[in-house]
Amino acid sequence: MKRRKICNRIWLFLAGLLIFWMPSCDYSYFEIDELPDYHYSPVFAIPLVNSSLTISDFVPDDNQDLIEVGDDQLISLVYSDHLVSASGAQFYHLPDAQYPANFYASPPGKNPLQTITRTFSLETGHDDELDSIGFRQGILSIQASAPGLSADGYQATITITIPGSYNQAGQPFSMEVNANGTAQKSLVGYTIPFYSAGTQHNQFDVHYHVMFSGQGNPANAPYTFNISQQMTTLQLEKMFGLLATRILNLGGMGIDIGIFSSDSEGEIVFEDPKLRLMASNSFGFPIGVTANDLYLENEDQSIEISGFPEIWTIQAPGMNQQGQQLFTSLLLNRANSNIYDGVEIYPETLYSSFLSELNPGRDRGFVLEDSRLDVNVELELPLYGVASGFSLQDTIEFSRNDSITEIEWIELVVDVVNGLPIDLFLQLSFADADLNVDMVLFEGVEDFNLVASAQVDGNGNVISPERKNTRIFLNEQQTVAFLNSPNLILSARMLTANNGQTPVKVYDHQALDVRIGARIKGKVVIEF
Amino acid sequence: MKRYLFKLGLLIILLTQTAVNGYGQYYNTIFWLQGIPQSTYANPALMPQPQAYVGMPGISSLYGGFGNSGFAPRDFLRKDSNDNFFWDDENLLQSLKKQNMLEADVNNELLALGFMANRNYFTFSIAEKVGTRFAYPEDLMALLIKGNDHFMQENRSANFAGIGIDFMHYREFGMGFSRQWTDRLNAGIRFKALQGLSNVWLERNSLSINTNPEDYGLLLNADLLVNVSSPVPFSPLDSLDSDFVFEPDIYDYLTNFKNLGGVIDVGATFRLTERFTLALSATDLGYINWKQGVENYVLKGEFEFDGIDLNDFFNDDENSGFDQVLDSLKNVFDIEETTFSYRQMLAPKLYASVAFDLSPRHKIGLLSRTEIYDGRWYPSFTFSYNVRPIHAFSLALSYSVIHWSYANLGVGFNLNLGPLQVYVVSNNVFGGIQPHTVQHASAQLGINWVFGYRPKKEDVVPSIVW
Repeated sequence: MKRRKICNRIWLFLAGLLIFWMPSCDYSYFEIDELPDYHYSPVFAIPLVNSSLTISDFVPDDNQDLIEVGDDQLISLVYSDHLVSASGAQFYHLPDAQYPANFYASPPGKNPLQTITRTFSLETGHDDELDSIGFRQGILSIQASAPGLSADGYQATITITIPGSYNQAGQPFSMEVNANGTAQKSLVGYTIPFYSAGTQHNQFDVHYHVMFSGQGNPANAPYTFNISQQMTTLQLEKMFGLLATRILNLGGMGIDIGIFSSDSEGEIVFEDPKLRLMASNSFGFPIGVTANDLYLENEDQSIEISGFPEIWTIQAPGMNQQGQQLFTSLLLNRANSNIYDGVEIYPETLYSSFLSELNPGRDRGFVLEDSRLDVNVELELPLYGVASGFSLQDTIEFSRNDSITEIEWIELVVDVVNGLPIDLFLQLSFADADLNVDMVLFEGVEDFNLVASAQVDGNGNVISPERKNTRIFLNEQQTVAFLNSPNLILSARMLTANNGQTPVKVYDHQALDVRIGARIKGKVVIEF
Repeated sequence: MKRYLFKLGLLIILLTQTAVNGYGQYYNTIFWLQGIPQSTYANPALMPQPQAYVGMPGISSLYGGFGNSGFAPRDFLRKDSNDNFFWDDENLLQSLKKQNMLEADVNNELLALGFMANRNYFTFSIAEKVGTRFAYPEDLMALLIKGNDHFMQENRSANFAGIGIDFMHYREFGMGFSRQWTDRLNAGIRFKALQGLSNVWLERNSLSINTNPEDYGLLLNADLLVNVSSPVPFSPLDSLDSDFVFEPDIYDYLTNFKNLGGVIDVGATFRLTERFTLALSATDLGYINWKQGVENYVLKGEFEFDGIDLNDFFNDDENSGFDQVLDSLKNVFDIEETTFSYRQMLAPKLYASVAFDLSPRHKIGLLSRTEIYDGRWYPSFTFSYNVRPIHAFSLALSYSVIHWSYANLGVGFNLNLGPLQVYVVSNNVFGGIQPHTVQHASAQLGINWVFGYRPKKEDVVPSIVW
């Protein structure tokens, strides 16, 4: 009875619970479309950049030659170009040559004389006294005729040999031609020696050996043999001797000096500019070079560079240095020229043109087919000096398909440890498609000193790097502009240490350690 | 897109949590419903009320369960004094514990039968089990909602130690034996052979991220080991791209017998007095050896990401800026990839319960269930009221505190239409009434053929069953 009572109470309790719960059912949670928008707004702090940069790193890959590091690690801007002469094979052109010859010969039993020698001379068009020529190209063509020989019932073969000549196998040049026929043979690979006799130079001998055949009647003997010989398409591989002086015009060039050509403002002074000329010569004789033009020029004025010698003699490789290049350099600096004055005008172009005189002393020497004269001209601007208000501007264009609106604000932290003796001021402008500036990053100032110069001593040498930590807050308006402007205009202004009063030196080991991070607050609205 | 994904996720959570159904893994409500043979799975010493049973093949037990120990929808989506909804991130974070667990399980019993022989009861079963657990520390949710700036402002690291990912699909072949040793004591054991099919397991899970307030550089301190047994290889990770397709051979997958394991369940019941019964058990004591399609990914050490190097950025013309960032991250996170087999323990469950017979037809029970996962104890407590007005019908009502979530009202019943038994058990029906309060829900239902469930006249009140 008592148990039944307890059970009844439990049933009553459960029924009460059910009655209590039923009205409290809350199905509004199922009405998803009625739910409010969810605003997802986390703040993420992320690192963006961690770099140690030197001046060299700011130069694009395709212009690596612009930066040079000296033995003392001093960095220089180098603007250079070079002139290249024609090759030895092109410049020492060999003309075609005709060598006619005739002689008499009889069949055996009639006249024992069977070998005849003739002497010829190679004409180069200049007053050269050659020792020898090796040929890269060339053909010797021969036409022979012997009137009456056939009528008497004979045939003959003529063997032509150039005595003293040789090829790589040590064989002399030799060829055959029928007495009434034609033949030709390549001269490639053969070297022909020459000799002088009195005032006659470049002479060489040719042997003609006649071999008769047939059973005829030598009624008309001795027979006349007419030989027509042509050397054509000659091109030298090498040439030795007393080569005549020749004039070789190297032409001219203009070198763009980028740092002054760019859209820049302000003052920059290079304390020790240099003009370096370097010639490499693989001709086997000295060369005298004279400068037709050598001047620096901007839009308004030009200054001719002084200090270039009347004749700049380029040294040559010796007989035992065939195939090598010998270098000769010429340095024009503040001490021996007016180059400092020339650079002061912020020249945009360096013009130069040169004329060269090959073998001016008429020395015994050589020419190889690939002998060349190269003249390299470098304007070297060591980063030693002062810059004051020197500024650059670049426009970065973006093609944006969708506007980014899911970010409320951005806070950038820029932590820079600067080992360079340079202050850097920046401004970032947000511009529309027509480059109209809508907003700037650093409001109220022309630009902002983001990177502070390292500490320098009286000689402009860095004694300690300088650290600067900057937080840049972009409010919602700036963030939208930053993320969505079609054009960002980046303006940079440099100022060397001590407000541009002390000349400083920039070395390759001086680095700019940059760390940039960003706090980004999201603003993502999820609608229901 | 994000809007629809968010809606979809929310809908799934609400539907899962409001499903009016029973549950499988949490045997809280069903524990003393011994008219249902599957009630004995939490304690192999318990004997089903029927003298014999055969599960309807494939549908003798269908179970789905979901749980989130961290928060309920009402913790995130709240109402103001005017009964208007608003999203409350702060309240959500405050409701979280240090460690929280999101879990979902689906089980399907393919075959089940059992019978009594004298004082012994034998059971056999084959079941397909899929379970996943995601243990998330409070800091992980704070990172998602507030970002890492939150930790930087508090001048501390975001600590994700204890983060866990565990997915397992296996087939269970069970054989149980229970015996009434004395009039007061029953004891039983169940052996289960396991056929592992696939697995993802974060075995080592130490992870923290520190943000440097000077430059926002990220320092990740990690000791992570992810084990994978998959029918489709993922390694090497570098080769994964958008062309990767997960298309396993289903036949090979389901007939893979290379990942073998075994567990035992042990239990005992003791009738303290005529009306008090004590039941103790431990289940899932064992492991699976994963050997087939195994891949291990190790990330150990300190990894620092300070941003990209501008030198690379300016000098690498081939790759885009985004690719360079990915390359930088790849270089930072050097993941070691191996193929060592591994052993994974199943999460053991400990049950302790006491039941009091109010009458031959009424019983109340108290149950403590503790799941040990990744070295942490996840307790739940249940009070249940069980009634059997007729032999063919039983009903159980329960109230549970699960992982310190208090809104769990369970209902379960079985109805025997002759030998055909239909049963439905739910551990939480709050989902249908107060969906915003639900953190745990599960469903279990099935059909059995049961025989001999009506007691003999001389044994109207069985010693253990009622």
